[in-house]
Amino acid sequence: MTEFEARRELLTDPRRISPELAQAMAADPRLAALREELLATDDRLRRVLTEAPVPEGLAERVVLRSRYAARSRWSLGLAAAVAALAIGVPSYLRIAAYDGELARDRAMIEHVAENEGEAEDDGRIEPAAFRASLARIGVAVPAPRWRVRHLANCVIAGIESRHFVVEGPGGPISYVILPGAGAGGSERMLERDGLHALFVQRAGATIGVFAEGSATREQLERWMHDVLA
Amino acid sequence: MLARSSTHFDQAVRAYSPELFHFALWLARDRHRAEDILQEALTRAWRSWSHVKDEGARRGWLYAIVRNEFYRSAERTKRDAAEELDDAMLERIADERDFTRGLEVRQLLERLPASVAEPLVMQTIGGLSCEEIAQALGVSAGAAATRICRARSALRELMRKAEAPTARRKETIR
Repeated sequence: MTEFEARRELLTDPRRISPELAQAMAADPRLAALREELLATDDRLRRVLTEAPVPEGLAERVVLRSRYAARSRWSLGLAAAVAALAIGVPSYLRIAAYDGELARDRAMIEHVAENEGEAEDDGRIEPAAFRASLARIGVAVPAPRWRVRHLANCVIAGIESRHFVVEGPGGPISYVILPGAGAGGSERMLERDGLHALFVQRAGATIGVFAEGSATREQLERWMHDVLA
Repeated sequence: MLARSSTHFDQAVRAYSPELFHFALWLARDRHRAEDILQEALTRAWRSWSHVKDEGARRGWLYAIVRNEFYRSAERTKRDAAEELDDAMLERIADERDFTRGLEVRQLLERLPASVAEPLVMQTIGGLSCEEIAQALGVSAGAAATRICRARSALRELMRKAEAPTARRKETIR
């Protein structure tokens, strides 16, 4: 390696030293001095370029915004397809009679079934971010009792909704909140391919809690109460 | 699949958002604008996240998206980013002794054209390799190395000239 080549390599990246360059520096103290000078300048430069503090909560805001902005279009297409399927082929869900509320329930359970992989997500959503996100669709909840693993802005039946997953006592539990429900009070159960759901209407929204397999109505009611009480 | 992607994306955002913010801040020179650029860039990144299969390439790709978002949103044209540092330009900058005397390293860096300053900033802030920088700039690794080499060489020359009068004054006092 010539001196010119060594100097060029140092000027390109004084932190990544090839064996040939190390050998050249050992033989020529001027090259070692040049490296020290370049490293010192880099340190000065790094300090001034990174001295500004990173805004508080930047990463959380980016994650939430990226999901909201990015998923809604995709979800809109899915929700439109699901709604068309649910309304057009009621036998698919073994529900004979059309009902406005039931159509919403079907769209919600369909959404959860289609996105079952989200239960594996573990984004460790901040409680404040979780509450703020639900508040944006008009649903006030207390600080979550369980850790929120996943939170997504979804479009279900053409309505901006929230799908979240908490780390429950026996594993992940999914919830969906779909704004725009009718009068409150009624509760309904629905089952689709082994996925059980309980829906309640509260604060102008339909809220669903979902569990696989052997979950009983009492368990679903307790989980609903634990998150929304 | 989606869950795995979203977890990887979250981890990448948490790991890289500080350095990407500082890169955006250097480009935009404004905190609020830097945050807007970063948010928009990473929202775009999420849409294409699953298409980037090579995890080793994701960091350079994120820098590229932040840079593209800056130029997309800026009134500044890409011509500035493509401007090359030649000997005449370096001579012109260095000869502006009133400019360089006493200037801090950041101000000297800002005197360099973006085409050579950007790769040096990426390497300094994020410790990116020449290959990652080449990917972010859309050039060959050799071209990226040449630009970084020229940037350091020019910065070194400017610093030497900027510090020279101070050294002479110290000699006189002594």
